[in-house]
Amino acid sequence: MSLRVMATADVHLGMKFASYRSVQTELIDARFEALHEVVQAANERACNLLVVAGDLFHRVGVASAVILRAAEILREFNGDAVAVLPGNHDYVSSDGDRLWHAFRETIGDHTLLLDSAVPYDLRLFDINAILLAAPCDSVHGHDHRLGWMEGYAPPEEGLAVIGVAHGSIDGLTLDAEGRYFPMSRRLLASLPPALWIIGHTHRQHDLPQARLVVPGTPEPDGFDFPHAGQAAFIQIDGDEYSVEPVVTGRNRFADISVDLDRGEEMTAQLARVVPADALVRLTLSGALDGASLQDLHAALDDLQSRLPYLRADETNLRRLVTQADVDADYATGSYAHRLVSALLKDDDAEAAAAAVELLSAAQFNGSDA
Amino acid sequence: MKISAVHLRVFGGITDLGVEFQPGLNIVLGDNESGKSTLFRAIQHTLLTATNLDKRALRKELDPFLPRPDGNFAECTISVEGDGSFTVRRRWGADAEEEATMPDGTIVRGPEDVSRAIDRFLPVSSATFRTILLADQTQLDQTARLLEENPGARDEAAAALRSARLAAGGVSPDAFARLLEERLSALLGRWDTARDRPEGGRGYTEPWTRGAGTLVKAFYGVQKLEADLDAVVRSETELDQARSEMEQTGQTLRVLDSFISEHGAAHAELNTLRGLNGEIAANEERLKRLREDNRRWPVLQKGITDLESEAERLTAERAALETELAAVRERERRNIVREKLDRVDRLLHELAEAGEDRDATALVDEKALSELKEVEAQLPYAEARLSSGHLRAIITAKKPRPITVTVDGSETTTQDAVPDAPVDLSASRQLLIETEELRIQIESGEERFEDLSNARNALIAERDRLQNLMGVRSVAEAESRRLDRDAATARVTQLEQTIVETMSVADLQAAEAARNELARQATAPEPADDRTPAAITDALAAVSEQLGAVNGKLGHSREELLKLQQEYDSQEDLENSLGETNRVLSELTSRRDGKGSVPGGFETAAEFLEAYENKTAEKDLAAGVHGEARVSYAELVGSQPEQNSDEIGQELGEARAVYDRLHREAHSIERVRKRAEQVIGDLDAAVFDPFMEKVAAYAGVVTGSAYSPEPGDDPLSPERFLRIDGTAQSDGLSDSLPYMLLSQGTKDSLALAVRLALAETALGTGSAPFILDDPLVDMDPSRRAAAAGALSAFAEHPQVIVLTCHPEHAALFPDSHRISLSIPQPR
Repeated sequence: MSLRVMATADVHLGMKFASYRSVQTELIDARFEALHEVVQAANERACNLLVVAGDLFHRVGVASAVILRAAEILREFNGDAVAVLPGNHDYVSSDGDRLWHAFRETIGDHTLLLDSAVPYDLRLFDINAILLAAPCDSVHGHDHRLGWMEGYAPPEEGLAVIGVAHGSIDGLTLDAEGRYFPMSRRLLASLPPALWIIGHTHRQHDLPQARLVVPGTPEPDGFDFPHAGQAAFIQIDGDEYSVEPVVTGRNRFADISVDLDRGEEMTAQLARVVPADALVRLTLSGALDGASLQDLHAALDDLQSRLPYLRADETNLRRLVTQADVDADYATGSYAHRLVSALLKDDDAEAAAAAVELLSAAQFNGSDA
Repeated sequence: MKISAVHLRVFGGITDLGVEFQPGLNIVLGDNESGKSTLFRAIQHTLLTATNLDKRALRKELDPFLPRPDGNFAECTISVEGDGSFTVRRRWGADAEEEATMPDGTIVRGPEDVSRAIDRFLPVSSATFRTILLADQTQLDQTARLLEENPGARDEAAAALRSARLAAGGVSPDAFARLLEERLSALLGRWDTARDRPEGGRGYTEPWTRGAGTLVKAFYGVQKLEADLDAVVRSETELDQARSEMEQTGQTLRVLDSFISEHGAAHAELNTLRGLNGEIAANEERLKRLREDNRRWPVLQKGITDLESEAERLTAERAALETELAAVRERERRNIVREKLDRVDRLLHELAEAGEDRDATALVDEKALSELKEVEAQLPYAEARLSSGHLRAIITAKKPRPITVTVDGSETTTQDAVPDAPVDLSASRQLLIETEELRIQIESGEERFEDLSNARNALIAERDRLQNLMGVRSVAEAESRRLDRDAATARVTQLEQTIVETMSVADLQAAEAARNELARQATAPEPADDRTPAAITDALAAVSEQLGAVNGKLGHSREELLKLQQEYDSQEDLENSLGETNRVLSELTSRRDGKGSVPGGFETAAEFLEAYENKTAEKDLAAGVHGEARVSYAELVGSQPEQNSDEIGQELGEARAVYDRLHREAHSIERVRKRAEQVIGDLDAAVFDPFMEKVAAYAGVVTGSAYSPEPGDDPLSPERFLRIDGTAQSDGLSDSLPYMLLSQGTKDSLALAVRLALAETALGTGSAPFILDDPLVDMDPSRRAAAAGALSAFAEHPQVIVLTCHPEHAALFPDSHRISLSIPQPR
């Protein structure tokens, strides 16, 4: 009989999105909706087990309402058990703390909190599996929490032994300082679990050779994550298993850098790289003349009105001013001509661009003449 | 742009005056008071003065033009031709209003819209129009001075020149400079560019609020986020530490809990066993004590009896020794009595001897002694009187013959006096020389020798009598005897005193009685003389000590026995307790057998129990510490900032990018400003060159090539002019002349040249009316003709309106449009 598991992680409920003021509420809600999607997807696939491999919550100090709302959503799961592992954001203290204490009080009977580094026998829930848990006990940890699993033997044959952990994995996660309970794939392969479900890495990975499933976050949480939010539907049949990605996220974040060409219409250039309906951070570069800049700003205004969120960074965008432009735009010998020409002669393109912009504004504002 | 018509409905003293102008040169000729200056002002105000004046401004600007005596408004309409027709009508004072009819027929009203419409129609700014193109009679002469004295007007003129020169690109340098400053102020407000930080180094904790530019705000934003990030990182670290501490205390607590749970049963059993062992030990101890008490009871009783006998014996012995000691002490006292008696007796004996000695010395008659002393004192005097003369007799015998000589009555000698051998006799008082036939008595002094001798003899007799009476031979002997008598008397008195003191009585009689009592005591019988008092005292002390020791033991034994009696009532009862304790002990021993096993790791039950109890105490302490750690942790969790360090770090990165961009932008604009200042400076130097050329050209025209501006002088306020027609050199004068020394006519000519150059420069290719009020008044005829020629030439392009009251001046403009004004009739 196969075991059907829906795996997710890094839901980060209670994340504030303070720097996204215009869409803050939507982004906060989207995380709950993503969890709801995960549960719905699990129900649709008649999963026995729903595993949250860490960071269900964004902080240990999240508001009670967040805990209640999370528990309500998890109670919608129709399967046999929900297993929730504390991650490094919602780490557990061996003593229990307010977060998990409150969570325990609100979850249903079929929700199991994997808050100890021990085997959890799911036969209590009529599931022929053992979960070997490696919960996080702090935000940072230079050592993984898998050591206890060494030499573990399941109580009987035929039980699926699944390792559930949270932390960085070599080759998958950026963790240069090794601060996030780093785990090597070699180590994972050497330990008893026949399948690993590991949270912390937000992008989904399925590495059959390492028998490792990284479910990823169900809802992207920033521009450093350009992918879709996903959960992993895992079917285990004996020693075999398969993984199917399930798209759950509502929002996409797009962090786009564009080197603009003034020779081409701006709208067209942006249309090529900016996805529709994404939260977009545009880092613009290039050298544009006045007309192109006007064109660009019109295009950005248009994007702003269509996209849910747009943050355009023009720090690296230069206004291009050439002597030919100066000769064409200002009467030779005139003040404007002399000023911009002098700045170009200084090889100070930036100041020349600023001068042109100011001259244009002065023209626009009118003059004494 | 040209003025085609002016209609003064009511303005100054003029009512309903219409004047039409032509393009080119217009000459308005009229006598004084005909309204030329009023017309000049009407044009100026209609084009330049809005009607929304407050009372003060109205009084200042237009009061002279409100009709007297009761007119309360002025109104004028000007029609202008330029790019189409444009009419402006303004009414100041009561019911002030203004309107402009635009070339397309639309009408705009209100001060701002009408002013804006005029500005659009004028090819130059209103400032330039007012300063340069409207030249009234006085201003022509004073152009340079007015510009000098009125920096605002001068700046406007300079700006007008500069604008005309520089604004070919459609940008006014002043507008640009203003914008530059505005932009820099908006960016760099409160920013110290030299130190590259907010002014005064004020950070976000004491921020600049008023006048702070976007760079300062961005800087504060970065600072705040950096501080927030520090705080969050600190908070997270503290949280990690608190959690770690809580984990450690929790772990300690769990280990202790585990030990206590694991060994709870063993502890309970071994604790019971420890209780039984304790009871058994206590009963064994009690049994041991009962046995000892049982043994001691009879011993104590016998000991008390023995000690009582010994105490009795020692008490008797001590009494005998005390009696002996008293007797020995009595004997010692009697010896003392005897010694005292002996001494008293010796003293009494000495007293008797002293009395005898005193009595043996006769008492000296003090009266007789005194008389004797008197006699003894007088006697030398009597002797002296008797012997105090000096007599000498020399007897020479004429024939030998014996002579008896008595000297001073006492010494009678017989001598043989012979011739040639005189007898030399001497005496004190009396020489009695007797011969056979003669008795010669020779005496000295007044008193008779006999009396003196008798007196002396009487004293001698009295002395002898008194000495005999006292039995002495001299006064000295009498006094010596009296001293001996006094000494004996004193000795007696002293002895009597000593005796009285020795016996401690009042007088000698009492002493006698006391002495008799001593004698009686001394005769009492003597006690036995076996031991010394010291020996007896030592023996007495030894016996007393023995008795004390015996009594001490006796007391202790009695107390011990009393205790036993109090505890057990009787020895029988004690024996009963002994039996009962034996029974309990054997029962406890049987209960203990087979109980309790010591857990592994402990050698004895006691070691285990001690360890268990220590761990129980440690657990209580650890629970407290852990509780505190949990509270600290919970507090820290509760106080964690809303955003974590990653989120704030991200915001900080964005804020830094904004700051960097603004910083770069500000510095770019700074560089633009510096460059702009240089460009302006360069251009300012060059902008006046063509102007100077124009002034020189006009000056040549209006002065008949006599004067030119001096190079390097301020073209707007020329101080000196060069005489260029060569007359200065021929007169031996300098060719550079100060403006002030020129004649009024030359000044007017040169001022007109400057004004024409200014107007030409300001207008450029544009067109606007150039209006002059009596410009030729002080010029000589040739200069006047030259000036008229210059104005006529100038009027070929822009419209020129010259107002004058001099027909001969008007005649200098033969091709002009002539307008005559007549003096208005009083209303």
